[in-house]
Amino acid sequence: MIEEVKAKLGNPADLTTEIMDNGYTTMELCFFPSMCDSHQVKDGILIPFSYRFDPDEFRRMLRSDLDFTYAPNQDEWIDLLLQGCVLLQYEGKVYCFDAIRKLQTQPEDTEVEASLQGPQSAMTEDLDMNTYLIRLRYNSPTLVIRKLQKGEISRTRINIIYDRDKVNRQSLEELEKRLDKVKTKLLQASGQLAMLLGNNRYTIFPVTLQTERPDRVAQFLNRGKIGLLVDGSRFAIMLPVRFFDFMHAMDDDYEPFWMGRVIILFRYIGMMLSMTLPSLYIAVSMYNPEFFRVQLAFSIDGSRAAVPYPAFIEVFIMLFMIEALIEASIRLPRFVGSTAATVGGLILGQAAQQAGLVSSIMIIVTSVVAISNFVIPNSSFSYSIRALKYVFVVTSIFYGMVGIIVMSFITVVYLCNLRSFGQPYLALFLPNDKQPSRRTE
Amino acid sequence: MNIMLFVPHILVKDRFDGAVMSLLAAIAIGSLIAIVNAWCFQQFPQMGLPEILDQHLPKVLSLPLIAFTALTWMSGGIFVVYSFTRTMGIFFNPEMNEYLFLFIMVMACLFAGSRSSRSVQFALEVLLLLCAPLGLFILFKTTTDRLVSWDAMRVIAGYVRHPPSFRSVAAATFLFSGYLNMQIFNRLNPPGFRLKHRWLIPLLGASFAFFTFFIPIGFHGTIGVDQYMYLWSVTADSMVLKYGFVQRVVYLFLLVFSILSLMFVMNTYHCAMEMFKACWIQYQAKAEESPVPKSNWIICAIFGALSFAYASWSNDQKNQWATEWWLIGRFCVEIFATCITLIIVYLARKKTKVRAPRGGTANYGK
Repeated sequence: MIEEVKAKLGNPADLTTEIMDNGYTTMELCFFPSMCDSHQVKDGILIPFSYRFDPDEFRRMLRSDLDFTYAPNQDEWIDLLLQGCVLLQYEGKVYCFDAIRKLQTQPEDTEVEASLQGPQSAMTEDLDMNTYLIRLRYNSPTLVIRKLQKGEISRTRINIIYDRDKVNRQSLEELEKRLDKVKTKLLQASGQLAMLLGNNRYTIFPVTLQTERPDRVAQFLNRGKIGLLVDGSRFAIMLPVRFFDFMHAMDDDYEPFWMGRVIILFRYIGMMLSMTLPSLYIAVSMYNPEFFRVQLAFSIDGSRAAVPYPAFIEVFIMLFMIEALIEASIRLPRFVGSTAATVGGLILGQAAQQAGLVSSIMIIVTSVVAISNFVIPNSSFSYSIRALKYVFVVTSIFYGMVGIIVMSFITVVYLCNLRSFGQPYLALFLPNDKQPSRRTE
Repeated sequence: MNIMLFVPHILVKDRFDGAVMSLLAAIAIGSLIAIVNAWCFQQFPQMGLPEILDQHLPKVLSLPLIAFTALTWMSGGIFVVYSFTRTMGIFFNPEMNEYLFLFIMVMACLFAGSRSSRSVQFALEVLLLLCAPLGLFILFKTTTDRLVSWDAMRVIAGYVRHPPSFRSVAAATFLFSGYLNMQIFNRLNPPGFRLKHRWLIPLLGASFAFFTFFIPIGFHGTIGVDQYMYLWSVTADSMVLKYGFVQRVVYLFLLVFSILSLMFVMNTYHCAMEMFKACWIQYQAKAEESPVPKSNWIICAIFGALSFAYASWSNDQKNQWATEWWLIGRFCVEIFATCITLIIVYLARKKTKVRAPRGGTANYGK
């Protein structure tokens, strides 16, 4: 066996191959030590083979122990080795021993979707651990887990999970169709898979939701949605989703009813603000100063007195600065990040206003935009809103107020037009309890 | 929506010659037509007007009918786009090129109208719900404003005994044309679907009719009211918000109003498009299609081009004249269409009765 494996793998330096002899009989063994758990190898193979050797017992163990599987097929060997199994040949038969090294043995803390009083544990980068976390929370016999692999090189394991009774069949079929079409070399993160599964590359809004919270996955499963767990990624992909899911944080369910509602309302207001405020600023200062009450219009114009160029240039400068700041604080190491925020936000903003490059109202607008963008609980959705803001800005440059109104109309229509795996993305009344829309105005 | 199409303007012109009576008559006729139609469409669940006509009438009859309805829809949409562009031009950016405005409107409606029926319906629901609070707020403002002269309204209401004029009735029944949506959107209604709260139709219609007619009179007086072309925008401009960012109510009004207009045009473009598509030979009615087929884009682009053509031909007077004729024409078409659907329902019922003893599965009269 060793020769065949070596020939196929090209005799890599990190492959350990050995012919072991304990005085009675011999066994051939090969594995990648870096991928295997050495304790397990020792406990599972070496000790029974050396110190406590009993031919009968050893044979029985090979046949009945759950960790050992019979691997007669030569073509499988390489795959098994690469996944972190130990191959051993005993009495002419090849067995494979599962000793995959696990990096994670404990659930991690939530980092992206923090919650005040909700569960603090988040998924890990290990598929089996994640599966365990979900089984733990969704402890139902109807939970189905299906396995598959994607990625020609990475051969990433994926688990599809759903509740057999509650799942939406139409979406499941759609998902299967799309999964069949997914062809990629390396699959490294669930976001990548989500993108490959999405409607098309140019959709502005995400049609799947990524979450790191097992409680959220369980809640979604209970609503008949499907989850995808990708090995090596701490985010589960949930689908189909609706527009409202993105604006919902798990805390809303753990707080008293009215508090939750009020906070959701604030979030929607924040979303609207972060989407339209820069364009409103442009519209008001360039086209329709009469839209606001006189005093407000004066104070906006007054603060723009020192600014030597039209409002949209100002907006672009400030928006670029804030985007750069956000981007920098994500990419920078954590120690430098806070410095960047202070320098950029406080000092630069203040100086830019005093130098007459931007108006002080624009600084307020920018910070409101940035802050209210952070209010959106889902990061991929807040990216969409961030991008959409520029479309609003561009239309308001040409059309002023009307541009904003028309753009919001188009946005709503676009959202209604989107389908997430066959399910409507934005709809108030679901088809089964729908009233016809009827206008009497 | 009526506001855009000069309904109040027409009514106000006739205010001394029977507009009030026309309103009352229109409420009766309009609700009757709407309720009868709603009932008729309920007999054919999951079918739009084109399918119903196709099934029960010979091709020679049904095709021109569908095409004619489509034309009515389309022209309605084009009128509204034009009037809306004019209003926005006057009140928002007076110095802007009209065609530039028309361009963004047409683009938006082109995009919106070419979606699938289901998407259009979702969008209608969402937008209506978004607009409703603002709209109600404006109505509330109008009725509580200090400057409203209730006496002027009373004076006009005193002309109730004058016989109604055909023009005013035709214009006022437009308020009840919401049911026309069912011609296409009935496809989405599941079998056994029942329109709930039908009693709301006359009630809501009547209240909106009275609002649109009487409030401007209250603001401008019995004589001054017919001096304005875009009556309601001017009326909204008569009000002031004491607190809040926005001082002039007209901007709130225009905001609600532009969304409503866009919705209306989206609706008309979409329905007209579906109807025209139904005139094709190999056509399958689908409520849900994604991605959007190319034919949708092409047909809607034609509508857009027609809107431009209309804008280049028209001016305020011509537009008003055309809209008036459209309203009257629409009224006749509506009555005609109601008769036809009634006949079809009658035929369909007769058929079921014959088939029923033989174990037919068709149960229209459920």
